[in-house]
Amino acid sequence: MNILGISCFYHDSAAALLKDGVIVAAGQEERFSRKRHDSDFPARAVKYVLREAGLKPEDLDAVGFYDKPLLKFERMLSTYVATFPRSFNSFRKAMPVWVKEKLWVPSIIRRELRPYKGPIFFAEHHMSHAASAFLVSPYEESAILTVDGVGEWCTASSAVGRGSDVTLLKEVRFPHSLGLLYSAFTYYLGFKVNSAEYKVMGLAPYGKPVHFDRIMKEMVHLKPDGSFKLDMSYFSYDYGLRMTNGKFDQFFGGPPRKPETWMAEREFDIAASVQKVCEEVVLTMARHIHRETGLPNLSMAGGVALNCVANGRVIRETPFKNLFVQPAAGDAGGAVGVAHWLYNTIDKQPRGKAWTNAYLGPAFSDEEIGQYLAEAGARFEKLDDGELTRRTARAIADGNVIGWFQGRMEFGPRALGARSILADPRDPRMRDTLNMKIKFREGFRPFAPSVLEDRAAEWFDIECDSPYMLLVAQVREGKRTIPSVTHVDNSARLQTVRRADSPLYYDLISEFDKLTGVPLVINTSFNVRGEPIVCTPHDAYLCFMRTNMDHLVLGHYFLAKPDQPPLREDVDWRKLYELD
Amino acid sequence: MLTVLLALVPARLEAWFNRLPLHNRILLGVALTVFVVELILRTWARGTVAYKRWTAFFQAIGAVWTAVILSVVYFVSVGLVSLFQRLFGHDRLDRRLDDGKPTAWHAHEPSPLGERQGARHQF
Repeated sequence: MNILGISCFYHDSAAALLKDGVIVAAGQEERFSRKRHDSDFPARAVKYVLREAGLKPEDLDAVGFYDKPLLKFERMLSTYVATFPRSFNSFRKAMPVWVKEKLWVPSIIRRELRPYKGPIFFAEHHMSHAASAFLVSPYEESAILTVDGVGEWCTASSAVGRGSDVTLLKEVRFPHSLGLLYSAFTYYLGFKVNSAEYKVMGLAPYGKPVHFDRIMKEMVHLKPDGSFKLDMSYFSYDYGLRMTNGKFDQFFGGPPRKPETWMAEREFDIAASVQKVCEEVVLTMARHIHRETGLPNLSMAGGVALNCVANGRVIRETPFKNLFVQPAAGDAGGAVGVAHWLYNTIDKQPRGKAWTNAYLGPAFSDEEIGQYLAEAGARFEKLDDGELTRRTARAIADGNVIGWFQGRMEFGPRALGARSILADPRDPRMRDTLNMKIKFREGFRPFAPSVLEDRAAEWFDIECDSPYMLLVAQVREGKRTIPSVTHVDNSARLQTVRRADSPLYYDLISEFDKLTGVPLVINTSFNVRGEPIVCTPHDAYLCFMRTNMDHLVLGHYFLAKPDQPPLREDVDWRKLYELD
Repeated sequence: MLTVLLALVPARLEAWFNRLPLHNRILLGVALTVFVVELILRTWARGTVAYKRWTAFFQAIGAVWTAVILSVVYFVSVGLVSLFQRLFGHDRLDRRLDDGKPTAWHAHEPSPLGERQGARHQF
């Protein structure tokens, strides 16, 4: 049975193909279109997943869409009515898009998938999230927590998964939304909404949560069972084109920070405060769900589940014994969720093997890479596995920055060793070098380590795996010799690497360990600021040539920057990508 | 037969056109002219500056009309429903903070059509 899952029209559109109960391919449209957070119908991603599965549209048995458009439309109309006349501008902007596109999802799917004539199904947004977390998790039975901005009406839900079934129990409804609260602060701090929330999380450790008590007293009314209401007089996201209003400005004593301007203690403290609020709400919800279900396992999804600091506290401070967070926990993962929900829950089919990695994107053979490099006029050496990992590890240990492109691309927002930039975590200057000369991004942004799974507990205060870089742990006191991946609060957002999932990457880190005694490397996404993570050898070569990276490893090809001919471009690439 | 039809249709059309009031004849004439010019430009001048300006002009007219229609819809229908809801103290967004309820969780409401049948619909 072949099921295509689709999520689109808001942000991070994606497609996933489930073949006989197993996701064989999944991809975000942005990687193919090269437009960050692309929300258009994922035509290129659909083309890729079908090609990967060896199928044509007419071979599909069902297509699933990740939410219920008419319920969402009803929520929007209800909001316009409730906030009349302040909602006029929002109404005027949103309605043409709805009338032209969002109300015609089945027609658009049929047009894009011609000549597909089979059924189209629709799952509730948070059902897609819940299914995307539980049905690929290793648990037979699990409590499920989904938290995001908003779906139809639901902004957070508790659910239970048993076998192939997922049952939604309770929900918090719009406009009371933890995701939108976090986005409101993201906006106020001068970052891009639905894009740069992770920057607020990265900024938080620089500050003190001095506003926490005031926010919890006046803005967020948290109940003992983890449910909450927001005082909407501080926000304008329900009726306007901005997230916050004048009352919010007064609360923090000034207008929102202008993007790209200087940040100081005030901004750090606000970020620290909202981060603490987020953690407090998620922890209270998780404890309540544990009390209600009594289950030892928790599966999480939704955009807020990408907040790895909160996730780390959930596993440390709640009674849950195990935690699984979907690697594509945001809306892109909804494509996986709806496909699994149709197959497992609706069709009552048994679940397949649990996910152990997120390598669901396209791969390129050495032959394809070699052909591309020859056409590009690049100079390279082709090495075998052993020589490749040794040379690369030596280059990292010598202080070089490496573009690392191997195997199938990751699904989800994190680079996990397939499309990564790697560097030496011991060098205290490496963070600034990477931020300023390679990624061209804000100096405060921390970097994350990829650590050998069997050595993780030796270096970090962590007792479980973190294969998707979605947990934060403290660097152990005796091991604080890795300044470039240690944040100001001595924490690190780590990825544990298993040899079974990525053998070459594991061997590379092992070689680095042999040279340095440090079983981890800096791993950051292979892109520059505002650019989607690279997908093809062409994207990777361009990114390598445009930045100050020293080496590029594409499959078994090893390239050194000084050997390369100058890149011939007729565009200013810095203007290609909108800053996030 | 075809010859007779070809002869009859323009004659009938002309008679119908002449019976129309003057303002309708003018409007129809303008619409026909726009249609014919669009066809000509689209066929022979696509991508030219003239075609881009022609398209931009009508897009601007479209934007103005969209704004006018949406304003009418908003202030008449949305406004009226909003007025009634406020009269009866109904708030679909449940924004009151002092509602005395111990929880803000709502029970999830499954589709009344059942899970499988409900999945067929966008609501």
